[in-house]
Amino acid sequence: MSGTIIPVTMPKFGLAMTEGKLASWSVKPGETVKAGQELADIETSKITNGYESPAEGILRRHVAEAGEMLPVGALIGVLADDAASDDDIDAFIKKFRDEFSSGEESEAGSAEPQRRVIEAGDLKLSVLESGVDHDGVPVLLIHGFGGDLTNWILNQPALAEKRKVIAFDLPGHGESTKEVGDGSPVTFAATIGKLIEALALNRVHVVGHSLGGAIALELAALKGDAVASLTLIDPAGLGQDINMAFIGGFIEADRRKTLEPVIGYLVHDKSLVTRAMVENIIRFKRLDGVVKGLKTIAQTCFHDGKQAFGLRPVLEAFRGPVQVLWGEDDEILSVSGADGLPESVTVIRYPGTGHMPQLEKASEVNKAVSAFLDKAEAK
Amino acid sequence: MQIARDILLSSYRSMRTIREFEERLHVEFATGEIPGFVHLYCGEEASGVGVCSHLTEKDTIASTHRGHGHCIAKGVGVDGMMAEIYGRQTGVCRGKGGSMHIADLSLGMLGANGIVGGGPPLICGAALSHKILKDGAVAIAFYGDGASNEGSTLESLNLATVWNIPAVFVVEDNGYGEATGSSYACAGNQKDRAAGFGMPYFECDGNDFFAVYQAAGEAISHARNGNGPAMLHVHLARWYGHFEGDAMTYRADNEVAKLRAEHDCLVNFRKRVTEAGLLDASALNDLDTAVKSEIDAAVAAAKAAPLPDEADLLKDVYVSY
Repeated sequence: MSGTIIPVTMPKFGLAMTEGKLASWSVKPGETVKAGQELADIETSKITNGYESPAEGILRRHVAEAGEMLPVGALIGVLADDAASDDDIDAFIKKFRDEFSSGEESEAGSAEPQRRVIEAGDLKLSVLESGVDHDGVPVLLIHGFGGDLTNWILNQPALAEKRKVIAFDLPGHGESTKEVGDGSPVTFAATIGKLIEALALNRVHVVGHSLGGAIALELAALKGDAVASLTLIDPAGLGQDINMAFIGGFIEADRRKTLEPVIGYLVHDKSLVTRAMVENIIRFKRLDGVVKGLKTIAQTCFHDGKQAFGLRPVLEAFRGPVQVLWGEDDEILSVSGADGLPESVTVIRYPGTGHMPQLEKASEVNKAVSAFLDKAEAK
Repeated sequence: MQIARDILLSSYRSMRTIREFEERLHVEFATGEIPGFVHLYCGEEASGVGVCSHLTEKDTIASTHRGHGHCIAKGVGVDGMMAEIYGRQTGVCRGKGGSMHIADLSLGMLGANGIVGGGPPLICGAALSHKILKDGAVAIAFYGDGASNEGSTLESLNLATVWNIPAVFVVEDNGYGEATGSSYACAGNQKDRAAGFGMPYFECDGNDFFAVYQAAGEAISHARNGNGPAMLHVHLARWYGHFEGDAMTYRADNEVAKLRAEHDCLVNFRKRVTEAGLLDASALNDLDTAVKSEIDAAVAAAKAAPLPDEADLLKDVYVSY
């Protein structure tokens, strides 16, 4: 085995270890070790343990120093006999590192986007960013009453092919703080303004669904310069009627049997309402403060069974491009809200589609939004 | 006691294979390439081999989370085992079981088991079928001192006597249930437990292959001859942690070094057979060399073998009878 160079790598202890700290070396460079002799102390969040030499040889190098935190498999030292020259060992270390880091990068590149928490004023918002490598104006997705950022699960990846896309949970929803203030679209819009600042974004294309559409309009009124375009999907704020059986049922129902028909209002094809979907909503509603927040929103936005805000003037005053998408069979906010809008507004109505075209007609909606954004940017 | 030369040779080979297999896994697991958990049988080789040397393919065994030694002793091939531990398609369970679920029913190896105390109930079923089929076979459960306190184990001891089945309960008592000493955690003693369930009790030094072989022979004969179940209590020691990466802060300084130096079942075996002139050292050295290259080849083949693909996901999950 003369001249053989053996890598000493960050060991894996136990079931779940992915990285470890080299606490201290037990052997100095140049010392001869036997197989099984302790080489170093390794610390993880659960275990501190001696790492035994995988083979006999001379510990030629410490590649990592005490105190370094490294992933499992990273090179920490090199074992070899005298026959290996220093140049051989340098070349070995370089080759090992090149191969190891290239493996790491390809993994990182394919990793799913991860949620992170952003502080917007006093509130903590759960944010999911994708397409982060793209330059240009990012897209901000605002979900509706009782929803969360997963409402965009069929849209965010497609839009992220060309743009940075940010989805988040509104206050009182998903994994965000459950504090909703007065529950009005203006208040939510002010919070989103802070989110845009916290993310250091100058301008965003805003896509809002349902109550998120009304919030998008209020955001345009509040921070017009920051809003590059508006895409409103079955939005609140353009008509008066609201299906209170949905709003009330969503707040009150606490069993699968009673909630399932309520969720059915959201879609034209009722078979889309799965058991898992309903159970997730029930689980969400059991979190502290959720029902209280939903009640506050309903009280502010929909008292007396009507929408408490008329945002057509805001839409008409907005100087950027606007697109409105609506399911013709929306049982919550009637498609008549798309009637009588200014001629400059692009309107698409989807037949055989309920309140959530981004789910029921995902690919058509993705195409329409992409085309609209391309056009908006070309101007 | 006279043991035939071929049994001596095959037993030594099995023990050496287990030792090499486990020592190699100790090194390979640390590289992070092996998914999941491994628990090594180093130091305990004489127990699995001393028991299984009395068995044929018709006899059945149920193993533990520390199952590699039992598998090898029962005749499972190291190529298929190594590939299984690496999670490869060529593994004995097509890479979907891993270390704690290696099974080969064609060899009577009913499986390693991630459940502590999971084996004894299984072998009650196996022993009952041996009794009903009148195939002359016995069923053996290996379990630890920790598992000896599990309700499932105690229920199985009861059931085996009630059914009068050919079952042998082998307590591999290495003194620790994970990190807890059996002197602390086991009430009473195994002998009185056996007596409490009305079955004979045999006891042996698990570092001595010949002691295990002798005691296991008596326990297995008792069961095989239709006299009902028996308990075999094997006193032994594990050389590595409960799992790979266990810092073993609960063990005395030099405890393991002393075990390796003074209670190595392979060294004991070699000394005994060469001094008695039963086998010569060169034959044993040849076996050592052969085993080493067998393990090298198994590791190389496992690393090169393909991982299971998506199409394998539901394969072998459901069977119809």
